[in-house]
Amino acid sequence: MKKPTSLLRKATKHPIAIGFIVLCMALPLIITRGYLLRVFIEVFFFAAMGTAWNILGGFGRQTSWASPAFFCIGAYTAMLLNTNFGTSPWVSIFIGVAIAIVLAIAIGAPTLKLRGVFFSIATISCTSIIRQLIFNFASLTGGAQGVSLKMSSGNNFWQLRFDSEVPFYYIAFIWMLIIVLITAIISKTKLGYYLRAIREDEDAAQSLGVRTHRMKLIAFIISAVLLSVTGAFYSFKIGYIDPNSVASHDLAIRIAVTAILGGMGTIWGPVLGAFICVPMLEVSNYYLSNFGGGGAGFAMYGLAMVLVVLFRPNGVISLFEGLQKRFESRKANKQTGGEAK
Amino acid sequence: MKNENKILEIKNLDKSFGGVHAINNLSFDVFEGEILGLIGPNGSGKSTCVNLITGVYVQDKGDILYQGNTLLKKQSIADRAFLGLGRTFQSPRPFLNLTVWESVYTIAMLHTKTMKQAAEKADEIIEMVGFNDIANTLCSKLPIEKRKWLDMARTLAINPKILMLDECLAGLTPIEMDDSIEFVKKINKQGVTILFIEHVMAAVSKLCTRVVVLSEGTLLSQGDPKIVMNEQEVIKAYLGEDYVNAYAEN
Amino acid sequence: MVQVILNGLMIGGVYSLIAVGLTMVHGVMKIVNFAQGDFLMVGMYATLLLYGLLTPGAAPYVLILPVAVIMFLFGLMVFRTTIYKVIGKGDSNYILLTLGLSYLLQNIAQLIFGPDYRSLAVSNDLKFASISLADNFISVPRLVAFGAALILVILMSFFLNKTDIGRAMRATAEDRTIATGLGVNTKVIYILAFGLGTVFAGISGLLLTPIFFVYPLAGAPFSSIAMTVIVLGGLGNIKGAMVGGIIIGLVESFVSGYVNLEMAKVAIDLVLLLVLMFKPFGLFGKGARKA
Repeated sequence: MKKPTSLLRKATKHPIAIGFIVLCMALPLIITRGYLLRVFIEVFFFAAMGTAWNILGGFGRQTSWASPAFFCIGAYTAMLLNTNFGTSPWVSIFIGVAIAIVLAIAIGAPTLKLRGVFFSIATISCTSIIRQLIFNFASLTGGAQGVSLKMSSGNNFWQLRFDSEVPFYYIAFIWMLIIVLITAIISKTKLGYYLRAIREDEDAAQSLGVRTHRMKLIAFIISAVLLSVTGAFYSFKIGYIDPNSVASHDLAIRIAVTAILGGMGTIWGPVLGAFICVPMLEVSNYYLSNFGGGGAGFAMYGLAMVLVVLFRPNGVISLFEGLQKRFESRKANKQTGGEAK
Repeated sequence: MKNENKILEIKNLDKSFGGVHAINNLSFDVFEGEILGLIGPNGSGKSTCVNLITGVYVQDKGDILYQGNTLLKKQSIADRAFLGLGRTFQSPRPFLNLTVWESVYTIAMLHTKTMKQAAEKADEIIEMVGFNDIANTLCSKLPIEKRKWLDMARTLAINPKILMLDECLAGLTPIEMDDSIEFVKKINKQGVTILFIEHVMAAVSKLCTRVVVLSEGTLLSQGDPKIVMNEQEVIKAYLGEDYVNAYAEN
Repeated sequence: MVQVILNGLMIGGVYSLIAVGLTMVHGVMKIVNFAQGDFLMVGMYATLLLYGLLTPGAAPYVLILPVAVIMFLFGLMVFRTTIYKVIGKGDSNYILLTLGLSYLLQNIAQLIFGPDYRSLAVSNDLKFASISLADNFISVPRLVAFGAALILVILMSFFLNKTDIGRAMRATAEDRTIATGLGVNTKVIYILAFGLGTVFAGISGLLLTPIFFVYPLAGAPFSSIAMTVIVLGGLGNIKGAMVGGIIIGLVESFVSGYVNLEMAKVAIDLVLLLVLMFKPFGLFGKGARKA
């Protein structure tokens, strides 16, 4: 695999990404307001979810609305095991992952045989079934009441309980970086190339030997695992979950929109998307909450989506295309093969 | 015929869609190394035949033998590609947002061990097809004839033993057609058997060593192109189609 | 039992009407409008506003024509400003666009009308009127909604099969290039299809005003039901949308009657998934994949 020296050399090729990472790492030293940190944590979590969605949704262009199904599995597994048995989230994350894998196969194996909108709408149904089941088995899941962590004080890393926002800031940020790194690796592997072939023309890819169903399923499972872990972290950050917050169709939309708005099938697009979507909602809710019953904020959100489609159909990241191309041409000069992206 | 080994045997094949009998008790053989023309009017079942061989459809009755082994229903489209059954589509299906080189590279990956070998293989194919100058061009920027060639180039990456070309000359100018014919010959010289589906007769007689004529899903005739194409029944089947064509154009 | 079937049929008819508009738009321009339910909500508010002009207590059904005209113009406006730009640009574009429209419409409605639940001042004579049919009751507003939906859907099939414009529309749905070659002005067809889809959503809204409350999110549940229906029936298939609507109505009515409302939603989703498992292109979808 990669040697550290080559990694370092690669790092110097991405000054924007490195600058961004350094800035984010330093941010809690500058910002002390809890509210702002919370907004950033939310941004990182949505960036993580959008990036996870992007593996199948962006590279493979299979629009899944099942993200909340896996997100809520991670969240509920971690919360329920903790409130009932005091299990550490660091342990229950793995249990959640196991369940998420099984669920991803159960949902993905049949639905990924479907094409286009048929797949999309089947995944809406899957999410909605899981949400209704959580509502219905209230004795286990708390139903509409949801689950809350018990009040506690003091810092406990093993139990993920902290008095300040800073630890979670770093957890969310590092987790987001891990997912971005995983996506970056996938995009360079065979899986990444096969997914792009599927995106471009599934029939043609199949006729040339791409096992399309298996590739989509693998991507779906990876995505599910990452979402499940995100769900566990997120639920401990918030301390309270219910079906409407972690298993809703709205969440599915917000996750997909984060990636689509930022730029599908790109490494940093969903991160950029999260930096746009989350603050936009926050700002409009903060300043416009007394205006029109809170409608103004979401109206702006909707308007932004419409405007992006009309004027930046490849996502906001396409604004940076010029920069990207410069790097690519430099890279192409060094490489003889002409491998791009 | 330089080689008498059968690479593909179609035996009593049957396929219906709803009430339409697309392939009706069809049998013919393909010999290793030949360029076999599969001809017939529109709707005679040529494409359906290719789709059955490649596994897009599953036959109702009959068998397809490839290198002496029966192709099983459970062998998917991708499985069959791995066996060396390559095909192109009537209208080219490029990976629009990938470059020419990436398209070939992606497929080469499937059929080589390492990504480095895949890259070498892709370079080799690009070289052979003469795509060096457009290797880094996005496929969406290619004109039609280049797209058709790219489809073939991509197929070469699967190490095909038999290549089914579905109307790879349609929509080309005469000069482009000649180039394409030369290109197909070049592929054939590398030991790839060609199943050439076409209804431009001039091209068929230039290229094919043997033809199989289909009409309404059944075998009408087969043999040497020059002889077959003068047969009464074949002419009739085609004349009928010409009238239909003339109608459609008006 | 009979009562449950009747309830299912009644609401299923309305589902069919919403879905027919949605599936027609998909058939012609390969776009699934995620804001279809919100168009229905716009129709509800249009009805609400116009109803103010009528004598209190009147039946809102007299407003069908004006609401249809308003909705057609509204559809035209939405199409000209946004939708036409994403035709043929792939799934993600129209998904993002119509979801954005959905948020936009819901919240503009909230800005203008506030989040309150409103209802028409329809006289109770109409609201609670029912016909008894051997021990079973059919609510008159629901019956009217069902009847009107049925008539519109039948008119639509007649239009598509028997008129030149309808045939042109079907040709466009079949193959845009061929239709253009045959001299069909596909731009006009797009506008017409989208306009009609909007009108159908709006009229559904009108028909539902005596039954449901009017509020900014009133259309949201119908969006997801309508999408389920058109996928169940086979995208772009009018007959599929009709049958699918009735099936979903019946399933919902049965399960909510015998189990509970929450499980009714699960049952609808399960039916869809089961159908897709055996018929991956829906009940009436074109099954054979062309390579």
